[in-house]
Amino acid sequence: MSQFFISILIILTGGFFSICFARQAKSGRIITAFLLSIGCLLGLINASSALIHSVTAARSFEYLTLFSLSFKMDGLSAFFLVAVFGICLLSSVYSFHYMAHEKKPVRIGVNYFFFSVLIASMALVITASNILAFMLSWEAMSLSSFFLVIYNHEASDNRKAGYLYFVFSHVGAMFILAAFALIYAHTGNFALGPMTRMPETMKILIFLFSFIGFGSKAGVFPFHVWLPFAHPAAPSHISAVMSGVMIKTGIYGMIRIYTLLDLHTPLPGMVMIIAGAVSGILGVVYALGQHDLKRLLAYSSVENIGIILIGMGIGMTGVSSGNPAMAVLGFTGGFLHVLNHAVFKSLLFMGAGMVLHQTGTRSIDALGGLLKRMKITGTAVIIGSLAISGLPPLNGFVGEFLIYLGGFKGLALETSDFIMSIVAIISLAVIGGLALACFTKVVGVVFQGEPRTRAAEKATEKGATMLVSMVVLAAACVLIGLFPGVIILLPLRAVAALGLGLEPTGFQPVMTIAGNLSFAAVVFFAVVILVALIRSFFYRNKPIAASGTWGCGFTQPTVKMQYTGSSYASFILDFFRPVAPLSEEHPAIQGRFPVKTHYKSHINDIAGLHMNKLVVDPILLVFEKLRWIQHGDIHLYIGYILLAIVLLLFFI
Amino acid sequence: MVELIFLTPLVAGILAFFLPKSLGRWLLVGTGALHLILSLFLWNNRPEAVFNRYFSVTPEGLLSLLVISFLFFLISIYAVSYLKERELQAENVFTGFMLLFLSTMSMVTVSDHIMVFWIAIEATTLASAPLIYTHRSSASLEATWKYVLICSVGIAMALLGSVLITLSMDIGNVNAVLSFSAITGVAGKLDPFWLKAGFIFILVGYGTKMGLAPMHTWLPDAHSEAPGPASALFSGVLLNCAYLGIFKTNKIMHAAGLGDFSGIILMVFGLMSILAAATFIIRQNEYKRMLAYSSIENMGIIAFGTGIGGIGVYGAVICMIHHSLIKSSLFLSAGNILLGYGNRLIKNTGGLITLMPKTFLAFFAGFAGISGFPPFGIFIGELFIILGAFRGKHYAMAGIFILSLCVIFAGFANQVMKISFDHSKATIRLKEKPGLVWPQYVLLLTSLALCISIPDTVHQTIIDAISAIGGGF
Amino acid sequence: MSILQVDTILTLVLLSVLFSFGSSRLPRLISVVGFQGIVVSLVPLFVGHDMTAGGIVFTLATLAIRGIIIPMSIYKAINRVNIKREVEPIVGYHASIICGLLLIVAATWISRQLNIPAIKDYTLLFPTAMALLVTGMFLLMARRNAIAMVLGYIMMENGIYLLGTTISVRARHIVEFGILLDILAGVMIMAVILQNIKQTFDDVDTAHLRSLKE
Repeated sequence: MSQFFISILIILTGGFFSICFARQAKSGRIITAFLLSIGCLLGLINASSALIHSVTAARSFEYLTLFSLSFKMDGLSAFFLVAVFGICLLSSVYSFHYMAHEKKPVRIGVNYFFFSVLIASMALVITASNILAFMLSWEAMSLSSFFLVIYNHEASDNRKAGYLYFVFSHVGAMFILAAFALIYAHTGNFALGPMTRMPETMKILIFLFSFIGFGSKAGVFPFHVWLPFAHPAAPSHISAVMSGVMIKTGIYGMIRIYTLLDLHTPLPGMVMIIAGAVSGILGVVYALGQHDLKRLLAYSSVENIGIILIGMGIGMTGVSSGNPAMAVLGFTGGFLHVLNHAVFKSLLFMGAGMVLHQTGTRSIDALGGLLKRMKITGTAVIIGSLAISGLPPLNGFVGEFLIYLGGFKGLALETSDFIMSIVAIISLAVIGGLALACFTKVVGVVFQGEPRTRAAEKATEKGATMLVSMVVLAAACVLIGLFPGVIILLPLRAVAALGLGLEPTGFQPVMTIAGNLSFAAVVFFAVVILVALIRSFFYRNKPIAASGTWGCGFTQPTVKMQYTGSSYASFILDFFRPVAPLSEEHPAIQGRFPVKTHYKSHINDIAGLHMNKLVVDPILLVFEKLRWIQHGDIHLYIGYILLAIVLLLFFI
Repeated sequence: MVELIFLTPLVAGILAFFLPKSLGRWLLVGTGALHLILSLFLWNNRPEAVFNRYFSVTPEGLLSLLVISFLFFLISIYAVSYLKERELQAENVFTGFMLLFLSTMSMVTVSDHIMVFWIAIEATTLASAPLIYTHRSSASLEATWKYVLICSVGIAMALLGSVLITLSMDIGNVNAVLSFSAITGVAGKLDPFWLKAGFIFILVGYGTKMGLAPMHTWLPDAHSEAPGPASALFSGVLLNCAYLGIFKTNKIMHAAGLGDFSGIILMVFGLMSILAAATFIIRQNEYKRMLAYSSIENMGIIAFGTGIGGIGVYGAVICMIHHSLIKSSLFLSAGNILLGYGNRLIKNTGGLITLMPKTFLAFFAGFAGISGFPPFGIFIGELFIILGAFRGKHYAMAGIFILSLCVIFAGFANQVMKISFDHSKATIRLKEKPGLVWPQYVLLLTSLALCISIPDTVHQTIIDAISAIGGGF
Repeated sequence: MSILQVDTILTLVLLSVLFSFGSSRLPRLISVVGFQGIVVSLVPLFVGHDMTAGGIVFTLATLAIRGIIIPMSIYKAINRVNIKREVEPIVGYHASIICGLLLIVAATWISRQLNIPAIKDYTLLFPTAMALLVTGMFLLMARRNAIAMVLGYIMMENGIYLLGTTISVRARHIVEFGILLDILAGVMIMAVILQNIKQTFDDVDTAHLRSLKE
C-alpha cells in the first residue's frame, strides 16, 4: 500500500509546488502538471496490478492519539482507483495546454492546488476503511471541488453553481454521516466492516440514508440539481474529472455500503432500478433540450449514472433472488459502465473544452462545421458520441449489453423482481434511443454543417497535450469495444471483491459472452474496414467535388437554413412535455416590414423547478415566522429568562 | 502563584488608564505576551494557589486559560494595527478595559469556589460592558444597556442556583469546601431535589452569558456593536468562560447520578440555540450579526455535545477550542471588512476576493472551518457529536440537529459568497498590513495543526477534563 | 433573638413589596429599595448564627452598601440629569397590585410545600425572599422607565441575598463581600449607562432602545 501513498504524496507535492510557483506561471504549470501526471501514473500502475493480482492491502495511521485513519485497498477500491487515476492522469496532461491561455498566474496555481487535493481526496475516499478517514477525505473532496467550480467567479452563473454545489454536497455529506452514525451506534467502533448482526430495518435505514447522501454526489434524480450547473462552470479538464470520476465516488459509496450491510431484501435493488430508470430517462431528455454544450454533457452524466444504477440494481435483484448469473451480469455491466463512462465522458468534456478554447462559446447553436478544421478533436468526439450512445463495436455497447442480458435473466423471476427487470429493460431501451438522438444533435449541429458564427469559422485546433489526451481516450473507447474479453477481467475482479459469494457459477457465462462479443466486434470492425476499402476502390479515379454542407442546390445558401439544435430536438421534447416543461419567449411578428425578432427556449428541470416550491420556500417560511423572537424589546428578553426557568422547574 | 494570572493584567489594566496612547498599545501586547508565558507556566507546572480555598488549577480551566491567553496575545497584536487605522476617542479606556477583561476572564478559569466563580463571571460582564460602548453611538449604547441588564439578571439567577447548591449540601448534611471539585467528590450525598433546582438556575444563568437560546438575545447586539478585537474576545473566549460554569456544574450532576437529567436539558437548550441561529442566519443583512448568530449556533452545538455525554463531550470540547480559534479569526476579518468598506451591511460589500485578497483568504478559510469542513477542527467535533447522538439513541434530536446544521450552512454560505465574490463598486480605504491579517492566519493555522495532531499534554488534559462526565469511548 | 422580631420586620418588607407594585413615583421606589436593602442586611443578625466581630463589621458594610450607597447613587443619577419621575408602567398599577398579592400568597404556599429545614422556624423568610426576587423580575419586565428596571434588578439581588445568607452559612464573609462589590459595581455601571441614555435620548424611556432587532 505504500506505493499508493507515495503516489498520493507526489500528487499533493505537485499541488504544493503550484502554490509556491504561482507567480511564475509557466514553470509552475510545467512542474505541477508533471508531478500530477507522475503521481497518477504511479497510482494507476499500482491499482491495476493490485486489481489484476487480487491483492488486498491495508494501512492505518494514528490520529489524534485516540483514533486511527484506516485505509484498505481491495478489488472494489482498486477498480475505482484505476478509473480515477487513469482519467486524472489524462486530465493533468490535458490541463497543461488548456491552462496556458489563462492570464492570471495566481489563479492557475490555486486551481492546480485544489486539483491535486481533489485527486488525492478521491483516491483516499475510495480506499478509506473507517468512518473518520472516509468523512475526512469526502469533505476534502467536496471542498476542493467547490473551489474548482467557482474558478471563474466573475460570472454570476458560476457563483450560483458553486453555491448550489456547496449546499448539496454538504447536505449529502450530512446524510452519509447519519448513515455512518447509525452504523457506529450499533457497532461502537469507527470501522466500516461487515455488519451482519444488525436488525434488518436498521440496515434498510442505513442503506436509504447512504443512498440519498451518495446519490446527491452521484447526481441521481432528484438530487442532481447542482450537477448541470456545477460541471459546466469548472474549467474543462476539471469538468472531465468531476463528470468522469468524481460522481462515481457516489456509486462507489453506495456499493460499498451495500456490500457491508449484507441485505437480503429486494428493496435495494428496487430502489436502484427505479432511481436509475428515472435518472436515466429524464437525464437524457434534459440533455437533449440543452443549448449549452457542457450542460448537455452534464445532463448526460445524470443519464449514465442512471444506467449504472440500473446495472447495480439488477445485480442486487439477482443477489436477493438467488440468481448468481443475473447478479454477476448486472454488477459487471454496471462496473464496466463506470469505467466506460469515465472514458467517454472525459473525452467529450475535453472535446468541448477544445471547442470552448478555440471559439470562446459553449452555445451549440453558435457553432457548426467544426469537423473540417478540427479533425482530431472532431473524430475523437464522434467516437465518444458513438460510444456513449451505446453503439457497437465501441465500449458503451459492451456494458449496456451485459446489463440487458442481466435484465433478461430476471424475466424468469417472480412478481416484483420480474416487474423490475421489465422496467430496467424498457428504460434502458428508451435511454439508448434518446441518447442516440442527443448525441447526433451534438455531432450534427456542432461538428457538421456550416459554421453559424465567425468564431466557429476561424476555429482550429491547438495544444499538443490536449490532443494527445483525447486520442488516448478515443483509442480506449475503440479498444475496449473491440476486446471486451480482456478488459472484462477488471470489473469481474471488482465483482469478486464484493464478497457476495457469486463465484464461480456467475462468472463463467460473462466470460463466454465477453469472448463472443469480442469476436463479433472484430468481425464487425473487419466488415466496416472492408466496406470502406471497397468504397475507396470504386471511387478511385473519380472526381469528388466539395461544396457547402446542406447546399442542396441553392444558389445562395445561408447557414440559417440548417437545423438548429433546438429544432432538431423539439419533436422528441414535445412528447416529454409533462416532465420537461418548455418555456419559450417569442415576440409576435408585427407590421408589414417586421423588425428583427428572436426566439428563446429553455427546458425546465422539474426537480429544479419544484425544489424551490417544495423544499426551500417552506423552510424559509417557517424561519421567517420565527423571526419575531428578536424584536428588540428588553422586557420580553428578560421574560424569556424567567420563562426558561419556570418551564424547567416543572421537570425537577 | 496561580493568582498572578489575573493580578498581572489587573495591574496592567489600571495602569493603562493613565498611560498615553503609544505606551498603552505596547502595554497591551506586552501584557498579552506575559500572560501567555504565565499560562504556559501554569500549564506545565500546575502549581498550588496561595488562596487554595478559592483558586485552583483544573484541567478544564487550564484548557480555557490557554485558549484565552493565546487568543488575547494575537488579538492584542491585531488591536495595535486596528487602533492605528481607526482612531478612538478614549483609547486608554479601551486598552484599560481590554486588560481588565482579560484579568476577569483569567480569574474565571482559575476559580474553583462556586461563589468566587460567580464573582469572576459577573466581573467579566462589568469589565466588558465599556468595550461595547467604545464607539459611543446610540446603537452601541442600546447594546451595552441590553448586555449589562440581561446578563446581570441572568447571572443573578446563577447566583441563586449556587445558593441552592449550598442548600442541597445543608440538607444532605455534607461538610465540604464550597468548590466545584470538592462538591463533585461528595455529590452522591447531596439532596437531589435542590441540586436539580440549582442546576436549572445555573444553566439558565450562565446560559444567558454563554448565549444559549432563548436567553441569547443580548449576544448579536453586543457582538455587532463592539469593535473588531473586542467582538473577537467576546465570541472567542467570553462565551467559553460561561460554558465552563455549566460544564463544572454538569460534572457535579454526573457525579450525583443525575447525568441524564442534566444531559437532556443541555441537549434541548443546545438544539434551541441551533434553531434560533438558523432562524436569523438565513436572511441576515449584517455580517457581524451573522457571525454572532453563528456563535450562538456553536454554543448550541457545544451544549448539545455536552448533553450527549461519552464521545459527544469529547466532540464538544474539541468544538469549543476550535470555535474559539476560528470564530475570533472571523471577527477579526470582519473588523477588516468593516474598516475597508465602512459599512455593516452585506449588500454593500462584495468582491472581497479581488478588493481585499488577504482578508478574503482568512475570511473564507474561517467560514469553511466554522461550517465543519476539514482541515479545521470543528469538523472532528461535529462528527463526534453526531456519532455520539446516534450512539445515545437520540435519533429525533440528532435528526433535527443535522437538518438545522444544513439550513445554517445554506444561509451562511449564501451570505459569505455574496461578500466574497459579488460584484462591488466599493472603494477600499484599508491597506492590508501584516498586523491586520497575520493574527487570523496564525489562529487558523493553529486550528489546522490541532486537527492534524494534538500534542499529548493537551490531549491528556482534555481527557482529564471530561473523564468525570463519561467522556470515554 | 426571637422569631417574632424577624417575622415582624419581614412583614414590613412584604408590605413594601406590595407598595413597590403600586408605586408610580421613582423617588418612593428608591426609598423602598433602600429600606429593603437595610432589612435584608440586618436579618442575618437575628437569624441565630453565632456572631463574630468580623460578622458584625461585614453586616454593617452590607447595610451601608445595600441600604445607603446603592439607593443614593441611583437617587443622584435622577437628580443630576433631571429625569421624569414617572415609572411608565406596561402593566397598570391596579393589575400590578393584584399580581403582587397573588405572588405573596403563592410564595407562602410554595415555601410551605418545600419545607426547608434550616429556616423552618422563620415562616416568612422564604416567602419574603421569593417575593423580592419575583417583584424585581416584575419591575424589570413591566416598567418602561430604565431606572425602575435597575431598581428591579437591585430588588432581585436583595432577594437572593436574603435567601443566601439565611439558608446557608458556608460562604465566607470575604466571598460575600466580593459578591456585594460586584453588585455595587454593576449598579454603578448601570447608573453611568442611565446617564448616557439620558444624554443621548433626553429621556430614560426604554421605548427608545428598540432599534437593534431583526
